[in-house]
Amino acid sequence: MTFDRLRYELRLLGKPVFLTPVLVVIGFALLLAIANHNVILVARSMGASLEVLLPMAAGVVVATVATYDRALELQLTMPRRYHRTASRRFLFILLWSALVSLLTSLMLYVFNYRRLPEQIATWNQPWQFLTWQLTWLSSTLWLVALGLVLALLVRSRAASGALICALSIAELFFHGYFIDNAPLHPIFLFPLTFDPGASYWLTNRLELLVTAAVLLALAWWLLRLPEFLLANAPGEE
Amino acid sequence: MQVDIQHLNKVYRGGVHALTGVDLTIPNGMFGLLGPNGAGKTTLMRILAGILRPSSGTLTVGEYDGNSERGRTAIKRILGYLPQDLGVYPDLSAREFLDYIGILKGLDERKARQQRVEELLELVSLSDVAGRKLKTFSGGMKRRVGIAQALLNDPRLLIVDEPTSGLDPEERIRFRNLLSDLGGDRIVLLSTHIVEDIAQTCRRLAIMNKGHVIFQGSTVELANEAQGKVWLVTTSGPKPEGEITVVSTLNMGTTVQYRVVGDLAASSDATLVEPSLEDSYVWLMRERRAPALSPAR
Amino acid sequence: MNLLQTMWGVLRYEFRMQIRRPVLWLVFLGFALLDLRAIVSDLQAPNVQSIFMHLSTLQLAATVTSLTNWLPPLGVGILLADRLVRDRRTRVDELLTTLPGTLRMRLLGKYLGVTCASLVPAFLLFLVMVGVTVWTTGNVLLIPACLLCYAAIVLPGMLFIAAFSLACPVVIWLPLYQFLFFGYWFWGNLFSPQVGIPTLNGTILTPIGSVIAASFFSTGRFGEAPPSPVMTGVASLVALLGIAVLVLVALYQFLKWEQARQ
Repeated sequence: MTFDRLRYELRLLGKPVFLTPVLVVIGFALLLAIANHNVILVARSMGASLEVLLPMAAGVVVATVATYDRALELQLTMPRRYHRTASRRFLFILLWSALVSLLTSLMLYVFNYRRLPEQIATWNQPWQFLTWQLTWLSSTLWLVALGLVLALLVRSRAASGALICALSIAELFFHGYFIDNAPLHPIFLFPLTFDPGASYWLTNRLELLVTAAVLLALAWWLLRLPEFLLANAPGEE
Repeated sequence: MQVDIQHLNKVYRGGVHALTGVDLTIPNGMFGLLGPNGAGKTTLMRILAGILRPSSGTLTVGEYDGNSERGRTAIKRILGYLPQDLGVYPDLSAREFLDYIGILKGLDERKARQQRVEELLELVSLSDVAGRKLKTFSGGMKRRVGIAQALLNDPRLLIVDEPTSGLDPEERIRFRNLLSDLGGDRIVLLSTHIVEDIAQTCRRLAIMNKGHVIFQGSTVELANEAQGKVWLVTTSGPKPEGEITVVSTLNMGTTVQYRVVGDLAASSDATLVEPSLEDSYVWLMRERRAPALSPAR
Repeated sequence: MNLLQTMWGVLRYEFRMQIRRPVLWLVFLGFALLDLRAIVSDLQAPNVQSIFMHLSTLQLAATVTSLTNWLPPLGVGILLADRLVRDRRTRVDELLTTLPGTLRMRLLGKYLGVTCASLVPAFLLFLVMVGVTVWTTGNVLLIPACLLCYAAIVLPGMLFIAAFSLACPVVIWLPLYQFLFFGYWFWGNLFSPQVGIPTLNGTILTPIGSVIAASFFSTGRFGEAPPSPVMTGVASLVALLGIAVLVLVALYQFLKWEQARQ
């Protein structure tokens, strides 16, 4: 991709896409700074922002933005195929979210506000730090993949966002079910927040990456169906 | 180069027959595609532009097979497309929008692309406002940006779908002249339901109705379809009767002048006149209504 | 021109447009699957059953109402959020501005219409839960009791969030609002104050209705709750409805100002 094209694609995504994860982290950190000085609680809460809030924000943004293109019909007539253009946009959102998450985790690590899963607590550096990044990476990838698939299947930005939020709330609220039932571990998005001593943490993170890859393959296929892309769900114009 | 379409069918999900057995040959030059709303014109445009795939039938554009993925991509390289509902990115300026579309069309060399953009902005008389954001543009200005983006890659196949709808008379004339100038050594397919646009620019045309092609030929042939069927009736009495369509009504004060197409009942107030293209279109639509089908697009 | 007729006409059509959205039903179907799974197993758990057996009909009704009200408001809030900004996206607002009906009546009609339509699947989900509870307990009197509790516990909060969901996307980016709303919903309703982070949960501005339920019916989500003065419930009800009205008034003033600015 040329620099000129990159510039335009980033502009077309718009400032809100890039501001959202930054505002989420800064807002949450400010709230904690004002409200609480308990290191353990702050570490736990900031860990939750890494594992829960940032991935959710990325998922909702992708669900909303990735498949909305004002010039879609024109894009579909271009020799540069639209599914590649859409995939690149999705990748930019993911990379930006990853960058914010990485910087946040670095700050937490440096200032000792980190909350590590027990499974890697005794590991050496840099493997401990790198593996710890799976905290946000797996959840983020899973939620953005789901957001993309939902947006393509449901053809409604509001509904796909609502479903992402509902799923996240269900996992937060019923975390006990997910912890107690082993068959649900592969889709449990927030184990570090609720079960830092879990012996399945690493397996869970890798399983999420695999299912995210499957969802992304499905999204890739759906992006190649122009009739699908041009249709809106009724009432969702 | 020419476009060959044979037995083209398109059925949307839900069983909507948008195109049924369409056979069409589009030679070089200006070619009009006429028809009422829902005739299937836009569906045909989108299939030609590679946006939609036909349910069955064959399509070739020059040496490229429009039924294969590779063929569609090759067609897109020589294609310029102005859709009916032109979506633009409101926060880009006209210059930026054209530059971006140029990149998507494969014009990777920056200097050449920017020069081309400036040439086209000049052609569509938007050089003075090229730096303004598209959200500040009027409908007519956006249409001009639309035609400019369609010409970026000097296309051999130019498809314009309802290009003059919403334009004022002056802009409409300018558009027509621009399209006519372009029709020299390429195929320009002009899809519209405004007969006058075709009358002023095209020598050949096709008429569609409910997914079928009901006429294909020259504008002269179309005009002759209604020979002996067009009347001017000036009366102070009731409207003329018979199997007719009133094309225009002009109130002259004490009398009313009707232009009618059809088989008029005997009347001393009626004068036979030479049919215009619009008259022939009306006559054809009356006479060659396709069997009732689900509405196309 | 009869302004009430204008409002009624707008209400009817906004209701129809919202109720016809397949995604509204799809989202609530998803909620139903989550809710049913959790609540049916809750109701069948022996320890839960023993708690419920000691509750009066009204208390049990309030508990069931509270149990079913944690997810539907999220759906209502998010799916209602694009209804006003949609008029701009579809460019209908320009036409509507030229019509003789006042902006106030159109806004009120839109608010009531989309809110009522969004509440239909939520209410149906609630009725299913009531049905399951009546089946489990055999107490038919639960039906009118649950309806009363729905009106008292659920509706004020729904009207509260509907007002914000209609208004806020006019000034902030819709996806950002949806995300913030989710965050607010969790933080302001489901987050425990004991975690140590300030939260609106447990105050009179809790739209999930827990304060009203505790105050009027001495119940929470899991049965009996510590008694709370009735006036707290009244204050919560008044606060939620009052703020909803204020938000709508502010929205109206903002839209008027925007129109005058053009």
